[in-house]
Amino acid sequence: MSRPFASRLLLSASVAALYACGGSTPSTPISVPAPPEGDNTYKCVTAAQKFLESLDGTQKSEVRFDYDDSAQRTRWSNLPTGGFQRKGVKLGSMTQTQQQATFELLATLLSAKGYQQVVDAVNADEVLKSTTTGGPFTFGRAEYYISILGTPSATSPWRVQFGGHHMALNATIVGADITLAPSLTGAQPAIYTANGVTIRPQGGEVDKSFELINALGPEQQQKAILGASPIDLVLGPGKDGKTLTSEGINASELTAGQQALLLALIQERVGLLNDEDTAVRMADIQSHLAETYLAWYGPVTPGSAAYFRVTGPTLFIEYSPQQMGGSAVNHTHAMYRDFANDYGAGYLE
Amino acid sequence: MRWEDRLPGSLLFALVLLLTAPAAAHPQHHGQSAYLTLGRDQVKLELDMSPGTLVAGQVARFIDADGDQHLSEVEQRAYIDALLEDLSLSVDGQALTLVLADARFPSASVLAAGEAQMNFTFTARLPALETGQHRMVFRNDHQFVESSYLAHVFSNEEALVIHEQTRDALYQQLSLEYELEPPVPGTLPAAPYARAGAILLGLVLLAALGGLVERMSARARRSSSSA
Repeated sequence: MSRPFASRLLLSASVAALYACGGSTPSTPISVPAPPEGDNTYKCVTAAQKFLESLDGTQKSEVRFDYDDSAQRTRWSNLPTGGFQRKGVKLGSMTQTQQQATFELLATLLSAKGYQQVVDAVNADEVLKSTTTGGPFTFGRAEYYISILGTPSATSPWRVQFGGHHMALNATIVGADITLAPSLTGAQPAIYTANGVTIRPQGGEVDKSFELINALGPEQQQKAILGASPIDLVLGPGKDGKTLTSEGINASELTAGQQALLLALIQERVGLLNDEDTAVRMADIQSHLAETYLAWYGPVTPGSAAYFRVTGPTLFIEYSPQQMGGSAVNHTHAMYRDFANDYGAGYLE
Repeated sequence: MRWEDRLPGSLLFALVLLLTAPAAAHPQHHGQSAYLTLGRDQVKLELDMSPGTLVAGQVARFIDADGDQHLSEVEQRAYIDALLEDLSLSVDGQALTLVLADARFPSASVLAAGEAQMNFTFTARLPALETGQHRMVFRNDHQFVESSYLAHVFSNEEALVIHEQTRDALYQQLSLEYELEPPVPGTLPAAPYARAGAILLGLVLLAALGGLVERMSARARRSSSSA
């Protein structure tokens, strides 16, 4: 074998191996059609630009990532600082104005109800901080991070990540479309009072889940209930790209009234997203209702610790109370995924 | 209500049900989550081990046998061997052999803190199975500290239909009734062929490019020598 040929072969093999192993070359921004006038995306872009303008030079370099930065895309967790290190800019390092801009950006991405749930979960961690001493973990509002992948635009994809303990919002914006898949929500404490008001960040969906399971007849419950005790999240952090086989009772075996309760439960989670994009998502979920399943682990007495899961061709929702030695209902984890569109992959197909 | 309205000061919060003080964020037992992916020829078993705050120290000490705060390769292998003894997998009553494909350990100190996972991937080759109904049983008896279990199945090939999944009361055992459908004639696994195609294309293009460069170099040499 002559040396030039050997060199060519080595070079060829290297390039081919890079391709075969999924290596990528620096990408150019993908262009997508501009949303129609008045679309919510324009508000999100404006809010994101305002947020970026509020940051100083160092913060700007810390908060920005390439849209196709796969390490940052998957850098999210339910764990607090000390158990998991996030990147971006954290609330604790921001001025009041910068924090305000952060939450204004979240408010454009989310519904009013979704925004409040996020705020309540962040505040729950502040409660946890005020009652926790020592240990390797750092709790509280200051430990929530925001990052932006890509450049806020109505005509190219970008992403906002907001995360901390029990929180990992991944909002991908592609033209007129926005998805929150995958996102993790939760709270600890999941029930607390502030200014005399009882706060339950995920109380709405918990109540609707018990309403649904108790609306089922004995035979239906037998199909839906897979175990007597609650389980942990199945497709939590680190489980991207996995599709779980469906279990439980098929929605086609439910009455119209029970289906309405199921859709109301799904809406509670999907409806974290702003109303415009939630409507699109719910229409898609409704069109696949006959292929959607409800699974339940645990007792059905309202207020007890029970896990539930809703799966469909494009939908994955689960809720898990956490056994921590105290009340499991006071520490919750929840996941939302879209098997066909996690991180907005489906928008770009 | 905006977020700042809810935060006049953390001390103003009155707690109702905060029953867990320093421990947070992670179950206190040894969480063991198993995920099976069934194929025609093999089964993949992914096992995520999450020792919680109450048992993490015990788990770390169990693995770090010499107590030097470092999980050596020998100690890691010893733990994997102990784990393998507690796992069983069978198809149609025939025991399958699990082989380690990947193992990830955190540092001893992080593991002991109760906020880290150990991740293991095993594979088992399946015997040649007829199309039709089959039964697979997975069981996890790994329990040297208080543990909780999960076992689920990931979707894989469309030629496999999972009919029923049943678990025991503690979720240590998962039984699957599934149907193996006949392979569709003329279909080949896409990824390996795409990859082979990429390699072949790379070889052809770069060999051609190399040849072009060599010809240009030779031409340049001839030009310079004639000059």
